[in-house]
Amino acid sequence: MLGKLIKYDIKSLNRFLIIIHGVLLLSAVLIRIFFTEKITAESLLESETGSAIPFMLVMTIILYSLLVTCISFATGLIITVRFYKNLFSDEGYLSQTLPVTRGQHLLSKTISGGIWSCIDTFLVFLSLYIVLATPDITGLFRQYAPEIQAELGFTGSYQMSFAVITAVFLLSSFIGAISNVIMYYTSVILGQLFSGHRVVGAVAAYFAITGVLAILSSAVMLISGIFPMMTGDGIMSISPAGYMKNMILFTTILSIVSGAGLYALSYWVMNKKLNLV
Amino acid sequence: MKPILECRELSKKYNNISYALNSLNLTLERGQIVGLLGPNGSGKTTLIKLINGLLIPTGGEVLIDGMAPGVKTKKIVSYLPERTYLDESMKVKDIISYFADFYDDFVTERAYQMLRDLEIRAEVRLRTLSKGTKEKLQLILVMSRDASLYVLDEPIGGVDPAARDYILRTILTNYNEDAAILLSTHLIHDIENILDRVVFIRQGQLALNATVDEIRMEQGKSIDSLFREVFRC
Repeated sequence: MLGKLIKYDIKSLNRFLIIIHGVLLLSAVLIRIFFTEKITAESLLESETGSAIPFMLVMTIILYSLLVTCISFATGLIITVRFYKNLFSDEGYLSQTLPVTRGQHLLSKTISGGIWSCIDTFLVFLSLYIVLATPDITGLFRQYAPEIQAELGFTGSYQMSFAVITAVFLLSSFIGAISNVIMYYTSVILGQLFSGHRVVGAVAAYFAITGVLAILSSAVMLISGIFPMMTGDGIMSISPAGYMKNMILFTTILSIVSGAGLYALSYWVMNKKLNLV
Repeated sequence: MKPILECRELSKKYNNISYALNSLNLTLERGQIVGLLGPNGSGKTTLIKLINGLLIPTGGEVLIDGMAPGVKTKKIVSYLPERTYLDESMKVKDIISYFADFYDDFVTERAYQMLRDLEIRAEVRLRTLSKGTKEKLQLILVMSRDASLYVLDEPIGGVDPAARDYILRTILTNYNEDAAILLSTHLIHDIENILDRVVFIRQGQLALNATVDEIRMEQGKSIDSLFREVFRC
């Protein structure tokens, strides 16, 4: 039954998400063809003498960043709306009377939403790669890779290839993405506990959860000294690589712990407290 | 055989204010069509939602074939809510395969037969259907299952009289001796002839539970006139 639920959830998410991510990739390809591909070291030098490229480039970067932000936001919204609509609107009268447990509903939605959230993360990285990785830039990068690595502090015990760095970064982003989906769902479920304005309740619950998590994580970071500000003498005590490693480790652990905690809370509330009114 | 439906001291309170259902005791056996009747706000829909596990009781328990609402009871209860619960982006044939996918007792062929009888095309999207047609479609879906308990909340409220007759005939022909039908409605007159038993509820409590024959013989009244008498405003 879980497999069937996931099948229908993914199918329903596909409708909008394939389209908007198609737009994301298409715009990345267009920006590559019409802008970044044309940027060479020479063209940048020329532009200092008054060509229009920098202005157009700045505008494109701004619009592109806006697009990426909107698409990621829309992805979260679509996943959350599907969760709410399928389980707690009129459609819930069908979904919740199917011969499956509420726990299976939650798991199915977490898997389907989690998969799409990871796809979204991956495609955002891919579109960035499409936009930025022109032959000129990758060529320059390859030429100076050891120096860049050394400058960022990926030396000694941090010595690793960029492929590994990318993989770690992606993995941590995926965990964060799934944890976010769980946070959206928990907000919707807590919103259902309000007798009246349940959507407003969900939004309030979301801000409450993110607020609590922000305070907790800052507290932990300050106490554990992951914050480089703790050095006191104004000099960063750790290299960018060391800082990055700490941050990734910390946010990933936070994502896993908060995701697991919120999932357990959602499961409990769904089974013990929820009425479809 | 266990009774198909049993309510023991079943209570439901919303927002800790007033009881929608108050210590309701009710037992229904298989092989009958039961009318669940009562004025607006008497607790009919609350009872129906409790049977389907959409609400968690404040007190007491509801048992379907001896089991509390859960996966096993949902397999044998076919529920028609009083609202449209369909995903409007689906096509008629999609929702039929959806039901076939989740309910082992769903008879696809029967559903398509009823679609043809009521002239609903399988290829159209649900959002293009009128409200009445959606209600007909939902009833088709619900009655295409070989369930043990059919729970129909206002099944004929929004459809025209011709379709109403067809639906009532469908209900009569599709159900068997091992099943029971519990249906709530305000249109008592239209449905009176198919009922075996009526249950009146008032302010969340049982007001009457008797067979239609008993009422006719002992009181010499139709259900419709008895209802008007009992619930006179």
